[in-house]
Amino acid sequence: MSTQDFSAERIAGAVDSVVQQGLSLALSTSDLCFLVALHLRSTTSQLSSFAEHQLEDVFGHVRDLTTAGDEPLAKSATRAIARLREQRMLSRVDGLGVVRAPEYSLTRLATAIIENLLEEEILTRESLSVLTRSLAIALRDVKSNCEEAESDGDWAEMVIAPLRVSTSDLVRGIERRQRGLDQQQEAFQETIRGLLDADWFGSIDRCQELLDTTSLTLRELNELLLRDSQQLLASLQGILERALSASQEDAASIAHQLIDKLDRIVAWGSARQSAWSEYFQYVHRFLRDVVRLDPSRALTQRLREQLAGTAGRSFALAVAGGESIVLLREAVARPDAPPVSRPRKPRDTPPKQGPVFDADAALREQVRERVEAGAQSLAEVTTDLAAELEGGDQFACAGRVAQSVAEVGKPRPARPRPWVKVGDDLLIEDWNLSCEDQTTGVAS
Amino acid sequence: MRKKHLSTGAMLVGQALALLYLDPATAGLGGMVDKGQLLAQLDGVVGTDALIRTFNPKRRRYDERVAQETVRKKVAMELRRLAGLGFVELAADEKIRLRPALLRFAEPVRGLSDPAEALAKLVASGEIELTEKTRLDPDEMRAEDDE
Repeated sequence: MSTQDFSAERIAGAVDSVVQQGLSLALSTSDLCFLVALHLRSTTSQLSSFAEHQLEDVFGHVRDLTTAGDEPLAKSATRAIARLREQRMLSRVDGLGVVRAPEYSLTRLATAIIENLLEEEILTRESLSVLTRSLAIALRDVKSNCEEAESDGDWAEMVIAPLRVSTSDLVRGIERRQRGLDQQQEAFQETIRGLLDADWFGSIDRCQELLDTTSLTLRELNELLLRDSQQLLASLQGILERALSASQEDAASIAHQLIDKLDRIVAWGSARQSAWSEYFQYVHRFLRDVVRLDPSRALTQRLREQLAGTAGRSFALAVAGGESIVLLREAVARPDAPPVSRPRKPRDTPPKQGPVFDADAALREQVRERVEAGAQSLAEVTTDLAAELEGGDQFACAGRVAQSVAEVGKPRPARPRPWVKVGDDLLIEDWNLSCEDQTTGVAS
Repeated sequence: MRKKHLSTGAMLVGQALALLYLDPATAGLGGMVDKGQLLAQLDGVVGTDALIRTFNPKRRRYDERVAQETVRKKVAMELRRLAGLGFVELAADEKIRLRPALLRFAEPVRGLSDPAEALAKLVASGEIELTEKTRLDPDEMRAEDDE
């Protein structure tokens, strides 16, 4: 299964779970105030849980500070406690039911919300130093445990658990503070804008100071991250290699995840440094080129009038007209033409002599064969040679047969000459070619 | 190399961008604005009618929706032209990074001297050319349409 499929499956599972349970979260401002007050009371008075009267007491205090309602305090407090229990912000911890008055404590969800509201955890040089040092120590211990671990139980107890809990917590701590720093940066940009808006020329020194301080902080953080991350990554790499060689897939997977997180932290530092560098340069240039040179903001007013077309003549900036880029064609190597030369062989071939077919001679020969074979009449010879032909060809052939018969034999026409049918469409005047007469004729 | 001057539309967009560059709000954001801010600036300073007439010079009667769409297209086109000339940088998500070169559009009113005198000096030095046009040249528009 690919990482994307796995991730999609997890998302689907989580969403399904939320839908199935019908989870929702709705907290009003007064509820949040109540929660914050409870959290502060618990930290100042070292309370791990609250009795009902303590909750009412805190609620009353909050109600006095926010809105004073007409409703009796006990009733309002009861409703507020019920709402917070519905929203999983308060949980009953005594488990005694009706036996004793209940005690409540803030849930993990409530604590997280309150911490997010109250605590501005921002990455500073000091906090990052402490966190990275703690992380380095934790990883060093885990790495040495890797060398000693032999059984699966050892790996689970001495490597996987510390990696999953303490080390991951420390990395999460850095990430949380990063988000704080990002928020601080946004607020810082707002501050610069507010300062310039409020006092255009008078804010230069203050802006300059803010820029320098923030720039120094970011540079220090980035240097620290780059330096310490190498050491942390080396330790994690060692743990990963040891886990892989011992075929401890869980440990290897957690080490992988931590390496990814550390890489992200380093990339974050680098990106912030780069973005800040651009911002720093821009604001510096703005202060120098615009604010210092235009203390009364007259330029803005004049430019506005110019744009509105109410002042001066219209003009256009002259720019260099760039020539269009000349695109050269692809060079194609043409083949060399062959040199001019005399042909070695004669191009004309002499005509060859061959046999010539003489149709009249062939017909005459066929007639001779028939006459010598003893044909009795012209009609017999013509029938032999021309009966198969049709139309004009038959007629022409019959004529040539008659001519040939007259040449090779001695025909004797009968008196009167009979007309004999040859083929279907032809009638000829027959001649007698009887052998007796012929022999006589020949002999004579 | 041939010399030419920016179109009326490009001058309008350039001056509006210069005005945004001078805004403390933009400075606070590191010089990043979006097209919406630019159009709002043009609309606020030049006025909707003048803006529509400037970018729709051939149309005597126009449909408001179509004319506004034309303005948006023409402004985007001039913006690309100015980006090509290095006045701004087009970033992702329709963001525009303003560059100090935009102050060239404020050159005639930048000094303490009389703007007319400053204008004359700039014309003499060949940095700007005086124009009589208050709207886009129809030929220019045709050429742009062909593009």
